[in-house]
Amino acid sequence: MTFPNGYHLVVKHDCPTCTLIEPEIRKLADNDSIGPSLHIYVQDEPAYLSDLSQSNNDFSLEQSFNLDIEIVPTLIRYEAGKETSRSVGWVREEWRNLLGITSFGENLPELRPGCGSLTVMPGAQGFLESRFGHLPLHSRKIKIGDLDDPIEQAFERGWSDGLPVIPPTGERIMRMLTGTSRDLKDVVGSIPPNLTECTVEKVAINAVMAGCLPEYMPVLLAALEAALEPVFTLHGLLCTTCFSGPIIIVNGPITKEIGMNWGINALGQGNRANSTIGRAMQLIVRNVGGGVPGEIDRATLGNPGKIGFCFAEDETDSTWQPLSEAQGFLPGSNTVTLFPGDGVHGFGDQRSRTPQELTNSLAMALQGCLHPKMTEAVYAMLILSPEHYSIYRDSGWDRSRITEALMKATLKPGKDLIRGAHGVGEGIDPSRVDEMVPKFFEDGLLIVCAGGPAGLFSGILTSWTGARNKDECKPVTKEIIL
Amino acid sequence: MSQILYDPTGETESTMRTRRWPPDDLTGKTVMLFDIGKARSREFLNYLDDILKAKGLTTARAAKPTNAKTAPKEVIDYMVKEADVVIEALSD
Repeated sequence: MTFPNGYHLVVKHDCPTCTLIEPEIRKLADNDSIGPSLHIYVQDEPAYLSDLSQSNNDFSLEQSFNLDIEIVPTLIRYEAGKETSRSVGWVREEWRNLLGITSFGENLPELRPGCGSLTVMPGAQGFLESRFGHLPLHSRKIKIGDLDDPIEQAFERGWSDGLPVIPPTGERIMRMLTGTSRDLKDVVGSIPPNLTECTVEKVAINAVMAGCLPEYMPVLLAALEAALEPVFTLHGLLCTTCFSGPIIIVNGPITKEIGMNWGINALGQGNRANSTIGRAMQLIVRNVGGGVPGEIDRATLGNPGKIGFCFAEDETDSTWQPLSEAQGFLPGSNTVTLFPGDGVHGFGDQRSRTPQELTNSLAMALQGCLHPKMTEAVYAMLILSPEHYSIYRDSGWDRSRITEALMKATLKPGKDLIRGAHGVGEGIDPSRVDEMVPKFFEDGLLIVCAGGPAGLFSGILTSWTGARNKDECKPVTKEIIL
Repeated sequence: MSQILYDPTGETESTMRTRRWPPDDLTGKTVMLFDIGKARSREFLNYLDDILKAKGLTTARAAKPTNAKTAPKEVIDYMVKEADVVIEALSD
């Protein structure tokens, strides 16, 4: 940025050095050769030097920022449109040389250090950079008035999921981008339904609005990439009349590093990472992709998890194989698993004490996914609580044995499932009347461990019915790249 | 002085196009029956097909491979090339 040729002096009233040299500043203002080209910028006190015609208030700190001031007073000379000299604080010889007045300041000490400029107050630099600097962002800048409430502006512009969003200012976006090593221009993918290209920058903007911290960015980027895998079928999921939305399950050391919750109330409120990562994903679908409820999102009822649904798996029990490993990733990998799911169906059993009793009991609940008489139509994710898992663990049952037992326990005679059976119109094709029919496809039951240490309560997530067409809609697991 | 926010949207703009007016008469036109891939779409379209043919109209068929995904470009191109009007059918 260029300034007029002449002398530019930045001061603040709350600086003993600035007030010390005030008489000399007044002499400069009256000086026939200096005065006409003198520009004084006052950072704080409105009354300070306000009687001088050369005085300008710089309460916004715009001029101080553009002059790159760190200490006040600072005196700068501009010639031919360029800065040619600068003196920081009060150094009498420097001022004399800069001004070309050999007797200037003869009644003042030779040297006095200045004070910190308001531009270097903690937090000020990022704010000023975003307001007056040249940020490398490419998204459209939207100017709103100083008196406008940016949160209300976000509502009015349709950027919100119904809850207040954090205003996406340049400072916040730049801070969010520190959470990833990826270039802000990198395209993560095309977001349905409009198939709009989504850059890392757009991810960061929506992450800001959701309330994410920068360290969540790798998880969010991996989750978005997983959701954009064709087999996840995000387009169908976001426009369906069903209840479902993208559910994010996070595995690996990163869950601890970013403070995720896999324990008490793991599927509920109260944890920032759990609450905002899923929300950011849904804001991206809405804002970048155009997936807006009531427009292309045609959910009959939806579910509260569509605000955002994300949790971590409990990997603290070494006897349990985490979901990431079951999906083929190495132990200790950081992964996200995207599950196209409905809300939580609660399962309570406080009487079963043996693995087989619990299996039989869980099978009854799993049979209810979508509809008790519908089979091979949905995936299910069983979220085993620690107390329920301990019944299996104490008898030496591992993931594969539990899964196998549940698949077997959910086999049903076709005669009980066909349309019309038991006086219910819904059901499977009557041609299967004599078969033993599995509830799920062979890979249709996923199990994770999560939840508080007390309570014989587990949870079941039913998938979107798009999964009824085998291999057209599946959960997707992806490694998180740090 | 103003505050600056950065646009979180895809920054796309809709293109407004004039809707093609439906023909007054279907005689000599091809009616494309487009199956979106729902469970009973075909059954419903078969019913319509019979009615249209009974009226002496020409029909053709196109289908999405699955209702869960958008129609492939080749299916859309085929309908644009072959059809004068399209009936897009949901079943349930």
